[in-house]
This record gives sequence, structure tokens and C-alpha cells, in this order.
Amino acid sequence: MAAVPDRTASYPRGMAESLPVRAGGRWRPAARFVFRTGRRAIVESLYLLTAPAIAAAGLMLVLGGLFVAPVGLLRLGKPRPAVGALAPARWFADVERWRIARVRWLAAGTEGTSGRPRPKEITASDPGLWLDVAHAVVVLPVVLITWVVTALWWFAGVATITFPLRNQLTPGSQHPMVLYLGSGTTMSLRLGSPGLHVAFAMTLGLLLLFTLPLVTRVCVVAQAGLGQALLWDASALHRRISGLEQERDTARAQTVAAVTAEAAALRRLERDIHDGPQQRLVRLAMELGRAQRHLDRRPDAARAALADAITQAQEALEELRALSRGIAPPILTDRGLPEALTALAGRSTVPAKFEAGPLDRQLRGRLDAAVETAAYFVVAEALANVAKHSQAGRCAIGLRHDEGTLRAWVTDDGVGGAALDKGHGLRGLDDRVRAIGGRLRVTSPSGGPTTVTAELPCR
Amino acid sequence: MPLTPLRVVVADDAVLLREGLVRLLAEEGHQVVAAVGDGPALVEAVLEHRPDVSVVDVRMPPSHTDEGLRAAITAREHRPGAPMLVLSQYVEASYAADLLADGAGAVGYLLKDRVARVEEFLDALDRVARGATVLDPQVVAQLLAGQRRQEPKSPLAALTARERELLGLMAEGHSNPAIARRLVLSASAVEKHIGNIFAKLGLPPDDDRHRRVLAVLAYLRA
Repeated sequence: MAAVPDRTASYPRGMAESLPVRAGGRWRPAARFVFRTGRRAIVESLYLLTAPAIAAAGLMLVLGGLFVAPVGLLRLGKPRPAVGALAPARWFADVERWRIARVRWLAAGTEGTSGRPRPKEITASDPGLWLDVAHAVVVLPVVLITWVVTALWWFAGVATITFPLRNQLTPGSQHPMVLYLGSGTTMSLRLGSPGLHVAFAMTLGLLLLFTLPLVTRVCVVAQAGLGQALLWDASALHRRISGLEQERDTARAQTVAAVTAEAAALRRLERDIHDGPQQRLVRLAMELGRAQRHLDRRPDAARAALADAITQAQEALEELRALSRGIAPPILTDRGLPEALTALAGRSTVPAKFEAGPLDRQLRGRLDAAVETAAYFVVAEALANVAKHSQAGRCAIGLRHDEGTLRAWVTDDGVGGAALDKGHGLRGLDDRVRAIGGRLRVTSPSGGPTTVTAELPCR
Repeated sequence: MPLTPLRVVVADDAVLLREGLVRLLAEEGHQVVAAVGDGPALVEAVLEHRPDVSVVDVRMPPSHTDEGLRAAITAREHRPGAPMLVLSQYVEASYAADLLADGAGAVGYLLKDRVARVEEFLDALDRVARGATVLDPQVVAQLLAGQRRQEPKSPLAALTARERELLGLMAEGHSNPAIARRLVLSASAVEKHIGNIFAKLGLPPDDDRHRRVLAVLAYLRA
């Protein structure tokens, strides 16, 4: 039983201040406590006293289902309708979960009334269904015991506390008070006067009523505890399994994202090589061929072809440089993320400012290569998007590292309206970020401003 | 070597190469009647201008896959036997088989790099325009490499090593005298080998050019 509330906790301030308050509100917490306890005892009593009827009805339905199920299996040969006969077990379990949730002040961890994940269809392979059936069978004896105890306590308590009243209404019906100690042996309590009778009855009645909340609570703990054990997946093993399943699903999603991102990047690289340096080199070879062919007879044409060939060679080199920057930017490898972002800001078409915080200086060389690269490409792609779509006048790049998360973001003052599913290469970036366990956030209300943020886990 | 002036359609989405090709062909006295940048435009130009030959890049918009190849095949459905010289950054035997599938010949399939050897390129263009089949040596090399895994029931399994080599040269588009020069054989020996090849592949005596195409096709499909 909870003790009287700690008054020092209720009056944390100095005594001088709290004295006047105490004088007026001294009984208020105590009254509230009595009220709360009483209400709870009544709710619990209702829960306990109605339990046998529900449990009996539930058991009958479930037993009926258990008998019908094999018959259905024999006649129909289909397991599903046969198992369907066990549906009452589920209904009863749902009713019981709902009832337990009403007295849930003790049932911490029983969030929601569904109890456990379960398939929509009723299948015999769902272990939850069989636990529901087991609960319907096992709970009845427990419910009967708690019902008897609760009912007896109420009856005796009410009977003794109303004794003086009944004594007044029907005088002379007073019997001598004796205790029956079984097999005819009696012991007189030797309460001679009616006054002593009344005092004894009142004392006993008050004692019974004051202990009632304790009794109901014990009963509820026993009965609802059983329900919790069978109707909720509270077992450590279950929790561990679902935890592991969740981890596995996350890892799988990460792998898929990584593979998708890599495949997309490789395909883009192939396209870039095809459209860029490869074309240049073919043209270069073609011009050299022309030059060779005209060398003797048309030196002018040969000279022009050679000049063109030199241009193509230079352009091809420039394109290869840009491509290698796209695969693994040399400045990122050489000097780390902050420097690389500064370089990006410097190259941006829309004027960009990189806010290098004091912390960013320490970042150098401390980050995972994958995290650095992802952050770099998010910023690079976001800047390209700003130039292509936003009509922004300027933008800002930010980088923060705290609590194991690296945040890199780009904000512009453009027209907004960017979204992950709209293309703009954001989907590919999202894959890239999710591949290393991070996530991409895009806030871009119509009319701007747009902020693209990558949150990347890193030590 | 003065060649017959040809009326040519050039299809390549890369402006850089399209311009280069147009200039190269013009310098050699050919007439470029149309230079286009995608598949549908190629089909249109072939039907409109009826060129002697078309030079087609495999990869073109909108899909940037084998758009040019499919456009060339479509154009030949509308105008059977329209000569097509297909250029690509890489060659695959299965692409060549698609091109040859109609059995009409007059197709070429070359690596883009071959344009650097201007004379060979112009020669191939001329041969395709005259109805020959010209496959890139790389395609032939792929096929020869595949021969080792050949299952015995394939008709090609009946060919001797010499005959296979000869068939490879036929696929590359070489004429009988050229093959004879390469293999250091007499013209009659080459003709005898080719006759054997046709017999082993079950090709009936017919128009010789047609049989050459069918032999190469059997080679590609093996």
C-alpha cells in the first residue's frame, strides 16, 4: 500500500513561505489520495467481479470452437475454415485485453489493446492464436478464486459496517456473537453489552473496508498478470526476436539502397564517359586520320585537322578531370570535407557561402570516407539543383557534427517546390544517404526557401 | 583511290561526331543529303532521300540504348535492303545478328574508332553501299572465341579450322581476292573452301552474294 504522500515533495520551498498554505490545504492531498484509492478499488472490484461470467462464456465458445475445428477439418479438408472456428478465442482475448487496459495502472508496457502483431487471417501457424486459446482455458480457475475472495471481502465488510444500522432497525434480533471453529466447536467472544457488539462490528468493518484496496490489487495482479503473460508478447525472447527482425529489415533496406545507388552511379558514369571523353577521342582519331590522309596533297587541310585534333585532346582531358572529380573528388581525399565544401561553394553558379563553424576544423581526417563522400555529393548535387531549378539569388552551405550525427545542408532563397519524388536527382541522393544509414530531409514549401539536409551517422 | 560518289545520310546525336563525319565525307566527294540526331529522324530521312548508304550511331536519344540499331532495322522494313553502316563505341555479336536477321545484306557494323583509319572506313562504306556485309574484326573475334564452347550439333562444328577462319574473313566483308591475299591461297582454293562452307551449312547454290550473307548469319547465330 502506498504511504501517505511525501509532504516535503509537495512543498519544496522554504517553511516560511509554505506555512500559510499548509494551514489551509493540509487535508487536501490526503482526501485526494483516499478518493483515488477508493475509486481504483471500485474499478478493480468491478473488473474482478464480472470476470467469471466473461471467462465462462469465453471458455464455452473456445471449447466449442476446439471441437468444431477438427470436425470442419474432416468435412471440408481445408485448414482455413477449420481454424476459423477458433476465432472466438481471439474475440475473448481482445475483450480481456481491453479489460486489462482499464486497470492498466499496474500493467506497464501494455500499450495499446492489440497486444501483439498478428496476421489478418486466422491461421494455425500463428502462435498468438494458441496462446489466446490457452488463456481462455487457464484463466477460469484463477478468476473463480479471485472472485470468491473479492466478493467475500465486500460482503463481510458491508455486512459488519451496516451492523449497527440493522441492529437499530430490528432490535431484539441480536444473537450472541460466537466464532464457529468447525465441527460444532464454538467459542464465545464474550461480548456482553450491545455497545461492545457495535464497537466490535464497526472495528471489523472498517478494517475490512480499509484493506479492500489491498485485496483487490493483489487479485488484479494475479489475474491480469496471467493475462499479460499470455496475451501480450512480454517475454524477453519475443522482444529479442522482434528487435532482431527489425534490425535485419533495416540492414536489408540499407543494402538495397546501397546497391541501387551504386548501380545508378555506375550507369551515370558509363553515360558520362560515353557522351564525353569517348566522343572526343573518336573525333580526335578522326581528325588525325584526316591529317594523315591530306598530309602530302593538301597540307592546309592537314594543318586544320591537326589543330582540331589538339582541341579535342584538350577537351577530352578536361572532361576526364571533371569525371574523376565526380567519382572521388581529389580535394576531398586530400584535404577533408570542410575544404572540399569551401571549394564547392567557390565553384557554385549561384553565389554560395559556406559557414564553417569552429567545430568543423576538428572534423578533418576524423570522418568515415563513406560519410564524407555522401555529405560532399549531397551538397554538390543540391548546389547543382539550386542552379538548375530554384532561381535563387544566393545560397548557404552548413555543416555540423554533434551527438554522433553529421549534418550537411544547403539552403537557398529560391522558389521552392522541390520534392523527393519529383526527380531532380533527389531520389538518387536519398538512396546514397540511406545506404550509409542516414536520411535526407527536404523542406521546400512553394515559394521557398528550400533546405536539403543530409543526416549521416558517424562516430 | 577514287570511289563512286555516294549519297549519304548521317545519324549521330553527338554534334561533335556528326560534324566531323559530314566534313570527312564531303572532303572525299560524297554528298551528305541529311544529318540527323535521333532514330525517327533517321527513318524519315532514309525514306525521303533514299540514300546510297546511311551511317548510324547505335546509341541515340530518347532512350540512349540501341535506338539507332532499331531505327536502322525499322528503316529496312520500310525499304528492304537499304544499306546501313552502324557505328558504335562497343560491339556485340547479338547486335550484328539483329542487323543481319532479314538476310538482305548491305549492312556494316563497326567500332566507331575505325573512322580514324579513313581509307578503311571509306572502303567499308563503299562495300556496304554495294550490298556487302562488313562486320568489325572485334565481332568476328568474339565469335571465334565463342567457337571453343561450340556444342557438336551446331552446323559450324562441321567446319574445319581453315574454313572457320575463312568464314570470319567473309564476315568482315572481304572479297574473295582479298581473302586469297590474306591467307596466301590461290583464288581457286578460296572458291573451293567457300563452296565447302556453303555445302556444310546447307546453303543451296543460289546468288553468291545472298549465300555469303546467309553463311555469315549462320555464323552469328551459332
